[in-house]
Order: sequence, then C-alpha cells, then structure tokens
Amino acid sequence: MLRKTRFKKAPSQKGYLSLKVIIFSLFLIIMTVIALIMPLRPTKSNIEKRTLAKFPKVSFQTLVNGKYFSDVTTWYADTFPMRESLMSDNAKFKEAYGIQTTQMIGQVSPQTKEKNKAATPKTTLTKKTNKADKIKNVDEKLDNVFISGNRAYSVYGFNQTAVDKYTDTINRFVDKVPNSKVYDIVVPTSSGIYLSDKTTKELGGSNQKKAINYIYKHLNKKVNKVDAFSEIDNHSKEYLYFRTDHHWTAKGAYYAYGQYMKKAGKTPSKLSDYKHRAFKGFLGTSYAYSNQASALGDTPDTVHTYQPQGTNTIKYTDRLNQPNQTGKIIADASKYDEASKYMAFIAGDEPYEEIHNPKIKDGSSVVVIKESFGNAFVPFLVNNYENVYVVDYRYYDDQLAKLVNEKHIQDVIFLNNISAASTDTLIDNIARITEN
Amino acid sequence: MVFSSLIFIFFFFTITMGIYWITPSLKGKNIVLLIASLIFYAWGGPTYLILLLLMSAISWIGSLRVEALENKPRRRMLVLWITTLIQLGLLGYFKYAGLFTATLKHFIGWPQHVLEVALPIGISFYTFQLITYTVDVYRNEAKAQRSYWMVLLYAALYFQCIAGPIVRYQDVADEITGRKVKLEEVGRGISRFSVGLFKKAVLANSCAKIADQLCPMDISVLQHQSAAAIWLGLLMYMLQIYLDFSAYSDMAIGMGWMVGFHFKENFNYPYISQSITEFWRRWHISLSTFFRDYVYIPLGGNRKGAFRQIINMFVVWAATGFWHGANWNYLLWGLYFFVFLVLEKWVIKGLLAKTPRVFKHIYLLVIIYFGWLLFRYTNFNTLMVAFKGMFAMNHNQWLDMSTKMIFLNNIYFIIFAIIACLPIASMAYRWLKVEMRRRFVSRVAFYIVDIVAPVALVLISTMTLVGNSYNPFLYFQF
Repeated sequence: MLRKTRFKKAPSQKGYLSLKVIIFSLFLIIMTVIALIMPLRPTKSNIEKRTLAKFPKVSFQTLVNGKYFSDVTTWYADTFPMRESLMSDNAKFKEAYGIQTTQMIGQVSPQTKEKNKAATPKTTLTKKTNKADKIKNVDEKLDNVFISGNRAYSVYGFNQTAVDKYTDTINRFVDKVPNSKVYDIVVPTSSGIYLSDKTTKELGGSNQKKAINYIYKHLNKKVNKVDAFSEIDNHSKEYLYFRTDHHWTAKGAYYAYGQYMKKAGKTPSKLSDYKHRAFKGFLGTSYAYSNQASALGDTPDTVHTYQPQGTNTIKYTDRLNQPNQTGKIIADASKYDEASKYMAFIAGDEPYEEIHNPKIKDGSSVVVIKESFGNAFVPFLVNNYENVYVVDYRYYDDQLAKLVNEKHIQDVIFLNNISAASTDTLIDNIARITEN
Repeated sequence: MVFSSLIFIFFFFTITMGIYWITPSLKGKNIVLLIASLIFYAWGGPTYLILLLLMSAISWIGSLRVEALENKPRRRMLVLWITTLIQLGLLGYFKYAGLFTATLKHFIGWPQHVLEVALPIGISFYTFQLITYTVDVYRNEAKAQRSYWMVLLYAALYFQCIAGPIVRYQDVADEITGRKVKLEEVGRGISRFSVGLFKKAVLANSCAKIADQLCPMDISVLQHQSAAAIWLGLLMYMLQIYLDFSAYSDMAIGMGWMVGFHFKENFNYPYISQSITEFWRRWHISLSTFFRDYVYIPLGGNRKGAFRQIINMFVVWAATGFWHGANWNYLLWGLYFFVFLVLEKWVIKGLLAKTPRVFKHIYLLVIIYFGWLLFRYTNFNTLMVAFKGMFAMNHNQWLDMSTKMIFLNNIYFIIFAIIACLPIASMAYRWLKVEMRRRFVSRVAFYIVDIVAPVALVLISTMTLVGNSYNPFLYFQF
C-alpha cells in the first residue's frame, strides 16, 4: 500500500540529480587527473610512424603571438594518454558509419593526359643549389588508398610532365657513365596488376602498363629497359604485393630480378638458392593511411624474406650522415612492431649502402638507385655480384656519376615504382644527384 | 582555446569549474569566472586581449555617461552615437579593412598595399554584445553597471565570448550580480553540454570531412568532381554548418545553466521551417533579434510604409550577410535571403498559404541548400565552377565511383546526422520524461539514460578528438 502511493506521487528528483552531477563531475576530474599524469603520455606513435608533439619551450615571442598556447593545445591532444588505443577504438566506431566493403581514402592526384611530347625537352632543374636543400628528404607519400575486401590499393594517376622529367633525367645521366651499362626498371604497383581497367578508370586512375610503355619509349636507346610488368602480371596469382602496404613482396621483386638478369645476359639464381624466412603480423602503410580499417587489420600480411648466400652483412651511411654502420641484408623482423616489418630488408631506407660478397671474386659490381621498392630487390643481386652498392636517391648527398666512375661500377640500375617515377618531387631528387 | 579540444574539457573547464564551486561568495565566483575568461581569451593570442579590455572600457564609460545625462536628451544621444560608432569602427577596421583595401586596389589601383589585419577572436560577437549594453542603458531597459570588471565579465565570459550566442545585456544584467543555481538546471546543463560536444566533435567534424572531400576549395580539383559529389558534398556542408554552430550554442547554454546564467536559445531546429521567414526565426536567433531590435526597428521597421520597410530590410539583410565574414559573397548571401523574404511578404504570400506543407518544406530546403553554396565559396570563380559542376557543365561526370563509395561508406552516419538536425531526439527525451511518471521501469530507464548518456557522449567525443589536435569551430572567423 505504502509503495503504491509512493510511486504515484510526482517523484522527487533530488537524489538522482545529485547522483548525475556527482558522476559527471567525478568523470571529468578523473579524466583530468589521468591526463596530467605525465608518464602515461606517449611520446611517439608507431602506427603513424612519427614522434608526437613535444611540450613547447617558452619564449617572449611565442608567448605574445599565441604560438606557445596553440603548441600546448596541440601537445595536450597529441600525447593524450592511451592515444593509440583510443584511435583504434575510434576507427572501429567509424566502421559503423556505413557499408564499407569498398572504400576510397584520399583522392587520386589530378592527372594529365598523354600528349605529344615536345620535340626538344627542356625540363632542367632550376637553381640547383638552393633547391637541392628543399627537395631532399621527400618521402614517398600515399595520396589515396582504395580498399576492396581485405586488400588495399593505391590508384595511380599518370602525370606527363613528371614522367617526361623522369626520362629526361635518366637520358642525360647515361652519357656521364660511358663505361657502365644503365638499366631502368619501372615497377607496377598492385593496382596496376589487380584492378581492372574499368575499375581503375572509374576511380579516376590511369593504366600503368601504358604509362610504363610511355616511359620506356622515351628512354634513350642506351638505357636497357627491364620489363617487370609482364613477368609480374603472368604470376599475379602468387603473393606478389602486400595487401595492407603499398610495397611489393620479395617474391614480386624476385620476378623483376629474373627479368633484369635475363636482360643483362646472366643466369638468375633460383628462389630456393636463398634462405627463406617469414615474419607474420605485418600491417603496413595502407593500413595506417586507412586509419586502421579492420578489413585490413583482421588479416595482416606476412613478410617473406630470401637471404642471399655468402653474406648477410651490409655496411651503410645512415641518415645522420654517419658512415660505416653495420646492419643485416635480411634482419630478424619478428621483434619489429607490426607497422615496421618491411624494414627487414637491407636495414630500411639508408642513403648509401655497400654489400661485399666474399664468395664471389670476379670484381663484378652493380649499383641500385632506388626508393623503398628497391629494398626487397637488392638482396637477390648479392648472389651474383661481388660488390653491390645501393643509393637511396631521396637521402643521398653525393653525385652518382662520381660514385660509378670511382668504384668502376659495371651495372647501374634505376629502380622505381610507377608512382615514384611520376612524382615530381622524387624525380627532382634523382636529378639532384645526377645533374652536376 | 576551442570547446572541442581536449585541453579545454579535461583541463581548463574542469579546473575552472572546480575552483568556481569551492569559492564561497558570488563575488569570489565572479572573480574566478573573469580570470578564467581572460585566460581563455588570451589563449588564442594575448595581444587581442588589449582590444577586448579597451572596447569593454569604452562601453563601460559610455553607458555610465548615458545614464548620468538622463535629463539632457541631445547630449545623451550624442554619447550613445559616439560609443557605438567607436565600437563599430573598431569592428570595421579589424574585420573589413583588408577586404576594403584589397577591393579598392583591384578596381582603382589604390592603395598600393593591402592592409593585413588579423581578425581578433570573437570580435563580431562581443562587439554586438557591448553595443546592446549601451543601447539598453540608453533605452532605460537596464541600469548602467558601476563596476568595469562586471562589464568585462559580461563581454568576455568564456561560455559565449568567441562564438555566441550574442547575449543581450538586459537578459543577464541581474544574473551577473545575483544568480541562483538550481540542481535541476545543473543536471540539464550537463546534458546540454555533452550533447553539444558530441554534435561538434563527432557529427559536425565527420560531416566536414566528407564535405571537404567532395566539395574541395581548390578549383583545379573541384572542376573534376562529379555532379553527384558536389550535390552530396553540399548536403554534408548544410548538415555540418548547423551541427557545428548549434553545438557551440548548446555548450554555451549548458555551461550557463551550470552556474546560474540563462542564455536564450539560439537555434530552434531551423531545417524544419516552412518558409525563409520562419527559418530566420529559428536560425541564429540571437543575431536576427539583434538586427531586429537594434537596427530594423530603430530604422522605422514596418511603421513607415512598404517602401521604407523594403529599404530597411535591405539594410538589415546586407548587414546580416556581411557580418558572417569579410568577403563579398557573404553580402550576397544576406541579400539572397532579402529577395526571398520580400517575395514571401508581398508576392507569394497567398500562394504559400495555399501550398501543402510538404511542398513548402521542400521550397525552404532548396533555397537554404543553394544558399550554403553561396556561403561556402568566397571566390566567385570557384563558386561558378561548383555551380556548373552540379549540372555536369565542367565536362565532369554525373556520377563517379568514389562518390558512390563515400555515400555507401557513410550511409548510416548521414541518416543519423540528418536525424540529429530534427527535433526527434528531444521529443523522445520529453516523452520519456512524461512516461516515467507512470511506470517504474520507464523511470529507471530514464534515470539511467540521463546519468549515463552525458558520460558516454563525452567519452565518444574524446575518442574522436584524440589524434585530431587542430580542430577549430567554423564560426571562429566571425
């Protein structure tokens, strides 16, 4: 009886309201306290591959113009405790936004149609010295990721000005190394192999085969062109590209190596001649770029490596310009974090590297001028050359011709993925080390 | 500092509110609020704090003079005009000097150098607030405030200083010096604050991301966008701008309730309107009432014949548009509404009355939708490219795969965002509140929702704000 009347009256809300206010206040206070515990704050992000914002230093100027405060705000958010797990929770949350079986993140960069090339190409690098500093250290950048099923692609857009600059740069270089043979390998990316022409077109992309043909057509006769596309395309059923990363696998690189050896009139080593090791759990650049799409995250890649005979040691100059560092041609990537397993190959992107195979004593030598696609390619050459030199043109400071002539390098290989060979800023870097 | 930043929520707001609550007297509480507000303001650039202090001082002195000259109507009016013109002059200089000199240079080649004046944060809002103060005193609708610090608190209060609502002095005059906090209102304030944060951090920001992708500002990218992309992008922009702006007002009103201030509602579900006239009664209410009470009516309003009324409306809508930003497209945007308001008043009034609701609603949405196109693109060339693009007149496709994909990838979100612009959630909340008096189960359900929801909303917002460190409110530029 008592109970009934109690509930029929307009209920007093005081108790529950106090509870509401207390719970909300406690929540804010606890979060604030957690946020102020400095050791909980992360300092770097593995998934984004960057160092997080640091607490700014005070100066009169930054205090007055407000930069100090905006930097504090950035630091506070950028190093918020539990950042990575909150970010991946957020990624999961966003998957509820819609039907995400296929996704496009970013946009294919505007492309130029193939036109008749001007008769006399005059694309030279202007103001060499000043520009050199600015254009150095340009990393490859994904501008789009298309996800279909559990595979990510980066759609390629043809850029004629850039591609013409690429061929001109290499054509000019050939004459500077008259005693060497120059090879050019333009590698397709996974979208060129796996996406149909129709899909590529609908996504605003260009045909990679045509783009590579265009490049090879405009390269000097003295440049030996290696047809990696057909060989990779013929084996497209195999695991030649990562699904969660923009790189090719070592096996993809192996087919390009085979084609190169054929072109050079040599016998390629069999894949079984290399020591195989696999590193599971690789979630690469596309996964990070897609903000951790679970379509990719649920099925990580495996990095297969093939270690050459004779040696596994590599000597290199690092990006801080310190020479004579030692590393491994194939490193044990099982301890690397999930985003960095491609670093297993030749110690990652170092400006300059040397490998000497003690098993070969014929004085043979080769230099590979590459971006990161070259990393998976280089180890295969070690079975066939006494000296393998590697130049990452994005970070290398010296002149390539000087290196080739001083070391009497016989074979010079330019290796680029099609996207790099069409990226203006990267080609400026090739020009920087070849045009003095 | 913006409301949708982690440092605001989990540092500034929590700490200043904590100190506020443990401070015993109202005088002490006001000091806490004032200091907090000045820090909040200085965070975005300490130099502009001087301007805020100066403009508040002008209003403070002006209003005291106006009150003292009670029996000298002509001098009284003169003081009012001087005070107001100084404020408008400062607003004009800091906001429009760049645009005016650039335009002059474009047409007559003079002056040689375009003035580059950075826009002080919130100046459009607090200038108007300070103007209402002096005018309210002049009209004897409020008493002049003796204390400079209280005038400053009124202008600088961080709840509304930088993005509104524009609070009229007479509405809060009494609450500055004597206000009561009710537990029930604190509870409501918490809910309102959390909903606002969620609307901004989760909904508006996601809408913005889609809109920016589909309707880019860069003309070279824009001209290749498919027609469908621009249509969908503009829809997302339409949702974004409401969710973003009303979120800010929600948070301001919520924080006001937490300490005993009652700000008037600034948005009342504008997209459910049936006419442009109604839309402007529901959209940014504090701005349109400002222009009504401090410009339109003093100009004579509708009391001096139809011709004068049209002139008055023209002035008000040109000003309303231009207030939104220092670019000519905003002026056009205001006049665009002027045209429809005139039409609705004198030409299609009878027609509208006979039209079924659904068609009136479609009419309203179409006009508003294209209005946002005018609002988005400050550059006329870009605007034309976007408009032509909507009808595939840039040699662009009608529909492309990316747009289809973006639409499907976000389809549930888009539906949710549309619902968030309608009064459905608040109707459900009110229904639950009534229902709970009848049954025990629904009461428990209501209590749980009401206690858990704010925490959950702030948590989700936190999640989306993490890693998104730069994230300003859209209405900052005003």
